[in-house]
Amino acid sequence: MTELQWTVVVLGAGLGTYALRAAPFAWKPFREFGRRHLRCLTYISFAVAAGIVSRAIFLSGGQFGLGREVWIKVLAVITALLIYRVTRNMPTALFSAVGVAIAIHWLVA
Amino acid sequence: MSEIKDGFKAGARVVPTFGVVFFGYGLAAGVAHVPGPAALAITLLVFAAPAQFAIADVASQGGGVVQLVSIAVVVNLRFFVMSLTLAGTFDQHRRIGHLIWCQFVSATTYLTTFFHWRGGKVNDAFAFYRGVVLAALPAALVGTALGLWLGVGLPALLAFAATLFLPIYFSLMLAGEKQTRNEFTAVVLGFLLTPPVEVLFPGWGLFIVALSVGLGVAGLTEADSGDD
Repeated sequence: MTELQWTVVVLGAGLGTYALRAAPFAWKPFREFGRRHLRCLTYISFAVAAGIVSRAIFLSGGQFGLGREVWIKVLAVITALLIYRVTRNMPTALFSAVGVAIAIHWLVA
Repeated sequence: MSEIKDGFKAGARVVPTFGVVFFGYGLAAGVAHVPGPAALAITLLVFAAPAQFAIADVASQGGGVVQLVSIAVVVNLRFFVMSLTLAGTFDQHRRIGHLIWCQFVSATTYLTTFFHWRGGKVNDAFAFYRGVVLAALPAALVGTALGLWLGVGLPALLAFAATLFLPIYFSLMLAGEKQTRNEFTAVVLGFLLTPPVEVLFPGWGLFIVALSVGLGVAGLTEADSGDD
């Protein structure tokens, strides 16, 4: 592709994506809709967050991942939740769990 | 100012994942012969890793301009719903600012802001959101540039570790939320249904499941209230 074609791709993809992001901020009916249906949008937000977690754990390259890495990820999440339950400190839980996962990965490699 | 700082601190926790994901995009763009300046401009103007990977993938298969633009827009349809949610939480007096900063709505910036706002820890959700963006955006740009520049992978152990930050962070965020029964139902359904639906509809699973679960749970709740 030429430089001009790449410029059109960058601008087209950028403007198209921006339109999707900006529409609810630009038009009052969308903002009103957002406020009226915040409860439904809250459920969507929870489902998105949970989906990101399960997708990151169980999928690899668009397919179900099997084996060691999935179990290490599951263990890392459980470790983080347990540490968070005790400490109520998110960075501690986050970095401890990643540390545990690295250690297990290294040990079983 | 302090809420921007709080947002920055919250955003900094996912910087490693963000950096590595965009590092991967930089690698993929290099392999697909996307010119370096175009790859960086795409990170700035599209700011959505799934769509960017799709662009690199279609480009590597010889896709044309229309295909590349279409795939980016279609993969990014979910941003409409995310912005719809944020528009309901931001104050209504800084419309120009909203229209500038909404460029950086992504799953991470939106969820981090939403959950902190919902937990009552944030008064000015827009300021907090800007802080999250200020942490995430440089990570995305640096990650892309490093991916393009280095052209080889991270050591396997570090690459694996970097993929853990995002799922652990969102798990902790969900665990820290006081949830109603309906919200808990949405979490369980989102968790269980997203992987299989994602396999069936690559790139769409998260969006389809979240929308269906949100509408379904809200619909059931309304039906229950009607019965009362």
